[in-house]
Amino acid sequence: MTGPAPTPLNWLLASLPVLVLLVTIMRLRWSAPRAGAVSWLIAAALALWYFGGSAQSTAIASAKGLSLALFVLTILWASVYMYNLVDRVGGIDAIARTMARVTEDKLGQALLIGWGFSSFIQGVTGFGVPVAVATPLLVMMGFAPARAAAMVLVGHGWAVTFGSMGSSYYTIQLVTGIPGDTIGPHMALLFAAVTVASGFLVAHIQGGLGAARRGAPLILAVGSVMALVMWAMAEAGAPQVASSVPGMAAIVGIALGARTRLLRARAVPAPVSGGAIPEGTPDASSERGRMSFHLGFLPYYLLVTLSIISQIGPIKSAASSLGWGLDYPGFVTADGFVVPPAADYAIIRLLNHPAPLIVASVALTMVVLVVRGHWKHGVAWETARLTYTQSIATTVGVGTMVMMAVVMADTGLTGLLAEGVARASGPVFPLVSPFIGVLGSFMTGSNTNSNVLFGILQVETARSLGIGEVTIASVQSIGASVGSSMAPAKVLVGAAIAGLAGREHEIMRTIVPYILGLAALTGIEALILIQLIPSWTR
Amino acid sequence: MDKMTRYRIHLQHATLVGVALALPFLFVATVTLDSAPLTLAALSYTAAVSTLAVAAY
Repeated sequence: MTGPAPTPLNWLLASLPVLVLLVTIMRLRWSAPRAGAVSWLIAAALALWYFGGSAQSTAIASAKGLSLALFVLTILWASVYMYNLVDRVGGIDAIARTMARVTEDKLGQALLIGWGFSSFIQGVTGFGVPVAVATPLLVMMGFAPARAAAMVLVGHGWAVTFGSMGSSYYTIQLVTGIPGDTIGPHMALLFAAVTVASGFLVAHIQGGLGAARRGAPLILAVGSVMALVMWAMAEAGAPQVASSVPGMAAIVGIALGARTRLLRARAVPAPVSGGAIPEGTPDASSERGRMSFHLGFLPYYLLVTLSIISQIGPIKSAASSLGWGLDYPGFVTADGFVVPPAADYAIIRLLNHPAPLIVASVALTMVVLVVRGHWKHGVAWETARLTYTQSIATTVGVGTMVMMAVVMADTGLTGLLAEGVARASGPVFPLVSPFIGVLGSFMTGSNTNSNVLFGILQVETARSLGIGEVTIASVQSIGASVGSSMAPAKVLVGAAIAGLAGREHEIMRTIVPYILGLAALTGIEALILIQLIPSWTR
Repeated sequence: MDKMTRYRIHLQHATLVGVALALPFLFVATVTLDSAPLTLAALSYTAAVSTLAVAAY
């Protein structure tokens, strides 16, 4: 026996923690920490008293869950701190104002902010920040609030997996055990269609089919470059910048392309009044005392540079032994489920983990800000306090949910669920797979949490069906990436920032068909690849 | 800010500290010391922190 017997009762009980998580978040509207805590309690109780786990195995699995959560949370804390610091010294204002002056064409503005800029912000921070930063910018440019929020939500969905310095990507890699050099480039290639499609969808939200047609040359050109850059970053071993660098490429590409024939034909100029940027808005770089775009962007320049430097062969190998991870023993449950020992579990490597690189970028930026006279007394401490306040709920939510996911996995419950899903969906599983990712991020509000919850389940299902595990793991994360855009938490941020509090359904109604369309596109892509070139998908 | 909100915020801070301490407690009890009573205590502690999270959030 290699785990719980596949009986209907066992399957029902195994699905209980996930069902409770779903119902409490979606129906009862509980917060993630509350729902996660209850789900972990149920999973631990089931493991201990029904599925043959011992106190030791449940404790080890819970500790592993917290180790994994720490790996992800260090990225979250560092990136939120960096964003807050840049914001508080005026850097985000400088970046945003420069973006707003790049083009007067409404479609160009929609693509620049809703697709390029929001994706770049997702690449370096995430956690709802793109919605909070880009939506007001579009509203300031004269876009209707609901449309502005919808464009940002749909436009940055492709950037979530490799965004937040790759936290979701690292999670799917860790939970599935698929090496980064295998899944990274593979996933990046699968993302290509979704990335380009996101540009078309932003254009469609902005001006319907006419705008999508008019923007097609620019979207195809810029989208292709973004996809190529994303793949190159993943292939080069720098997945933590595989959203931010394509986001930067998009900003540059749209800014340049919007002034050429790629978009100029039948351009509709932006209104000069009624919500547009007020006349006489001073040039950020020319106004004395105001930060320049490049200085505001400095930590992100540094981060990208350090990420690339850290991947250079001799540097990478010299620093490979510098890291922190815990060794966990293996165990066998009473149901015969075998968990092998794990050495250096969820190791945080000095130069191969985003958090230390972000800390170094922040430190160097602080020095430059002091030298250039932009440093504000006490801002580092203020930023730390703000970051702490913003991260409390997410920290507890991620901690409890990841504990639940690992307890389920290490007791054989996830495998049991996978077997049930495999039996039910059979040959069309690749079509269903991205929707499982969407479901996970919708209910937890996070691509990372979705990957933790369903990553192992998806791969084990693929394994039991004998189809490409690498493609299915990738598709899980892609579905979760685009699906996170319709997570209630993100929509609430968009609604609040756009002045639509209490009218979230207006945004939701707009974005849901687009996001489900992106998930369907991913499923079709996976189904075709698995049927046509099965060896490549494994 | 009313008294109840303030109380919940304190609970949230306490939950965060509790979660932060759960990892070393679980690891030391289960892996480093390999002690059955301590493992049970660590697991009970984590369950108590989770219950606190339910009340705090």
